[in-house]
Amino acid sequence: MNRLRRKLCLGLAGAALPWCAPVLAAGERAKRIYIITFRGRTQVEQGFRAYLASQGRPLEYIERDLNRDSSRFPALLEEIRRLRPDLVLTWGTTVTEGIVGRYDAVDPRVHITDIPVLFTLVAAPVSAGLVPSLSASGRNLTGVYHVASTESQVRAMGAYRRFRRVGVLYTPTENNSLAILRELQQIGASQGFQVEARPFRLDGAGRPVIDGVARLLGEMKAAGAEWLYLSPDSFLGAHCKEVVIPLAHGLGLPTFASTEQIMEAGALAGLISRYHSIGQFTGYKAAQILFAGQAPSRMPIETLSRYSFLIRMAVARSLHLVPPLAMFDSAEFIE
Amino acid sequence: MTSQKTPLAPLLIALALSLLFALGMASLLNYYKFGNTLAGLARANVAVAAQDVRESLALSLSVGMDLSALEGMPALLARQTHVDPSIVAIRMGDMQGRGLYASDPEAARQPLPGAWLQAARAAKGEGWHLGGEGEMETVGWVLRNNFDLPVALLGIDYSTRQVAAGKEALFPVLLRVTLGTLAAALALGAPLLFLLRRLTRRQEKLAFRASVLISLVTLAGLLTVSWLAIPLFERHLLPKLEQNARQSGQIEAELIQRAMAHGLALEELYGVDEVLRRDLAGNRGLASFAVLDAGGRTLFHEAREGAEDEHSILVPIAAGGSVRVGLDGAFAAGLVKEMSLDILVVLVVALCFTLEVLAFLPVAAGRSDDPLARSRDVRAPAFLFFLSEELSRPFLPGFVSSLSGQVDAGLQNIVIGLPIMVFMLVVAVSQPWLGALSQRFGNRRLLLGGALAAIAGFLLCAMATSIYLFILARMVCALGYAAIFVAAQGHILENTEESSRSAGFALFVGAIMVATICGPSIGGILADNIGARATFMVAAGVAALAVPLMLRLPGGRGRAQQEGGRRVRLADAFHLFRNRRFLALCVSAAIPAKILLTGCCFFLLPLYVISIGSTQTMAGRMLMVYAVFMVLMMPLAARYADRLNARSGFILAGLLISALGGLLALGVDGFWLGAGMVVALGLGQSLSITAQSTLVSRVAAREIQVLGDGYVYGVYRLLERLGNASGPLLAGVLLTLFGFRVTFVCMGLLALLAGAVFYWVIVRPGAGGAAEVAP
Repeated sequence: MNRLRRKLCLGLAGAALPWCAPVLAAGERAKRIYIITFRGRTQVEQGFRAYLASQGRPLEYIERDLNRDSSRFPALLEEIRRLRPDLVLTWGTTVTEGIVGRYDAVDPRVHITDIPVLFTLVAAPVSAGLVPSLSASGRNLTGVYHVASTESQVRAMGAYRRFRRVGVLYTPTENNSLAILRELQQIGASQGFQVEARPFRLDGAGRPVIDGVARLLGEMKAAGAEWLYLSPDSFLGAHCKEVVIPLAHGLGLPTFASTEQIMEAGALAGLISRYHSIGQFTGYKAAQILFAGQAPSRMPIETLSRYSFLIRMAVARSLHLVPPLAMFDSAEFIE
Repeated sequence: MTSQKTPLAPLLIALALSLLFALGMASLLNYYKFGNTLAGLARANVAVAAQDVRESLALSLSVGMDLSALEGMPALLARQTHVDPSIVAIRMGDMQGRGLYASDPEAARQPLPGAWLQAARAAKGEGWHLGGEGEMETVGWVLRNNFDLPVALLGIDYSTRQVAAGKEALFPVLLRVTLGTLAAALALGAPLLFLLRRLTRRQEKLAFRASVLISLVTLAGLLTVSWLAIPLFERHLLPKLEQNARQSGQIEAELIQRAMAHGLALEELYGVDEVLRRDLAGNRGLASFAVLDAGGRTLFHEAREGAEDEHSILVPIAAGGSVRVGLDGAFAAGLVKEMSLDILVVLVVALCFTLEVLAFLPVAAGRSDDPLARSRDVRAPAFLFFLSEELSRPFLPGFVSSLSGQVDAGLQNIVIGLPIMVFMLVVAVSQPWLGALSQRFGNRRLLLGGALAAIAGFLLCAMATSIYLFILARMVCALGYAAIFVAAQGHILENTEESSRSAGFALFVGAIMVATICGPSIGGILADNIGARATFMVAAGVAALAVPLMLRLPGGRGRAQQEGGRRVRLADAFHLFRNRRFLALCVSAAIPAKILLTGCCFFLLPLYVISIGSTQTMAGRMLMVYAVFMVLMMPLAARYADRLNARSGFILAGLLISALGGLLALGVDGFWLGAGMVVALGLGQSLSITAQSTLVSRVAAREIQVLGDGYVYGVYRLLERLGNASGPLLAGVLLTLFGFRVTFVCMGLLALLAGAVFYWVIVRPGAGGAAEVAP
């Protein structure tokens, strides 16, 4: 029986082998990768380049930054068409959507369709409309998302402290935010916890505003919420550090972060992907496209298999919520 | 009748053999249970040392450090060697086998052993284990990065000297206990047998009563040995258990220390119970964990249910307080209790042996009027021989699969079936020729030749290094098997009259049946403990025991050939097939029955049982259940089928019940699928087998008148044997295509289909005349 298993495993190991063996082919034409970041350099591109460097193949990088300015898209698109790189790497949802468009609204005159595009650090590629499903995009696009499944985040939150009621702030105009809220409510229904959801207020133009968030958090706390789950909602993310997290902790409401950015904003705990790891995984995908001839249209859209559990000890002590003993084995602590 | 007619010697020999076998097996089981437990505890200890390394690596990789530039790794590896004194060295390398780090800096850059790479590839999950040379073994892990790609190999070399020393220390004590119990049981049993012989007036009852008495004495001996083993286990496992307790305590103390380093006080800790519970679950032999404060007050406490907290070990926490670990006093008793099923199997087999010995050494000696006396003489060697063959049943497919590494993965399951198929094929085709040989050289010589071939075959099996050699070895075994089959039947034919012939054959069939009960169950236990190759050696030894018994048989040339005068050829079968009902009987009952037997029981079942994570011992037990059903049900079914004149009904019922066994896979899985299947197949086969061969004489009455019954039955048996050969092939192909459960279902459907055909052609009212018409 062991032999039988061995056979199977040989097959599996064999499939991974090309990526383990750095082969430097002499005289090989360098592949060109066009990288577009959203807000300057991050650990993601470092991990990406580190992984590819370990493959020992000649590569050439062209780096561009959107600098949060959507008006730069036409120039970037024009440059991509002119330079014709072997692969385009897009950082985040905004950049990706600007380069390839939503899957149901692709305009070949505007968007890139004939060059493989690899996205990274997109929180929710399906609800963002980039791909119809995670199994494959069906077009010249694949990528890596970075948010752990809502279910594993719920599990991690429960492992820190069991709860029966969790608070969520959401932006009613953000699809992604609504999708995660629905998912959380479904999980709650099956696992037996309540979701205390409160939408941000909208101004006259239908844009969310942060005013009144203190009242929302107070309501949540009064309703018996034991955690505040900070979902990968971009409006929420922008106000976590200054407003939401300090207010929540002031009310004695512990916070759980879904992204590294929110964790850095001061949350008590979070199950997050390290940007460097995400970059490495993206590099692995790039190698599959560039050197193994895989078609992006048929590649699954995936995320890491292991996340980092981060805990901010100072907050834990001030909230009198010390981490369970078992977490001192595996979690990472921020003082 | 007077009692002095019955010699005491056969009874005493039976007692001694039963005790020798049972206590010997029990001690073997004890010895290996102890060794395996000790080795398991040692390996668990070593695995703990790897845990920290794995966590540390995962952390480093996730923050973007490169595998080849982990500064803290050499120091960490060196530190981990102190976790357990048996650890010799720890090494880490990449997936190509290049060395990166080692507890001994000198060895860091040396390439990893090729065996590590092989073992790591073979291990589907993460962990692997290598039994190295001498007293050194290696446990290892494949370490994966954050997106599940294997990135590094970690291996720990550790010394098994401690385990070997523990076994060495236990061995003489266990031997003394066994021999002492043996002597005591003999001293108790002999006078009891003497008394029994005096008290029993009717000699016919003596054999039965004596076997009951011998079984009781054997049971008492088995219980004594098991009971005496408990304190031995306790004493010899204690040092290792204490070591494990100290290590677990240390790990918890370090974890608590880590939490306290973050500024938490001992009382403040949260989720301690959870950690203690987890560690209890992972540590056999420990009864409780507790965390005490500096003043010795218990702050947290968890205990295993049913465990006896006998004595405990205190491990201090650096920042104050301590961890108390309690050892489980009931651990050794639990281990012995785990063997009770095996002991029961041993007892049943010992009973079978007793019955065989008593049948072989007729208790009512001097009864020269016994018409079966000379048929009896062949029973004991036949029994021993068939026993040797049956030993390999539960582990043969698994062993073959371990040999078939060179074979293409797609063909593997089919190749695994080959040895069984080739064996059956050789038996089927060689029988007619062997019949001729028996006429020429006599049955005794053929028996001896068969036994020698089988012994040689088993030895070859034990040494086979490739699947091709193994198939060759099994062909030699098959020749021996067929020769003994033919010669034993020939011997009975020669030494019985018409009137006592069927009773003579019943003796022979009885020997085979008892062997099918004893062989697989003992073979499974042996294979799990001493290994498949050694068990083949045991089989050779058992077959060799038959040789002196065969030498006692009368020599001379054979007189009659079994199964009639004409040699049967496959071509002749076509002639008989003009009889549609004979054809239907063969194709829809006889052949499917054999396909189910060899395909499901001999081939699929042992593989399936291993695939669900169970043992060869379990496969042996299941095959034993099958055999017990056959032995108990077959005579009953034969009697009632005759009495009710409902043979075709029994055959149909048998097919349907067998079908149920396969179809069980639709709803059941794991152990219960295996168990349910052997019961259904045992019941189904026992209902139909006798009825089938009786029905042959009915459906082919005219052909028998013309060609003779030997000829017709010869064709029938040949077809059955071809069914035997095709079972593993069919099952292997199905298994390759669909996996276990669908294959079982297909086998069930096959039986169902056969049942439908059988019903249509033979049972259905108006189906060419009722089959039950007397010839």
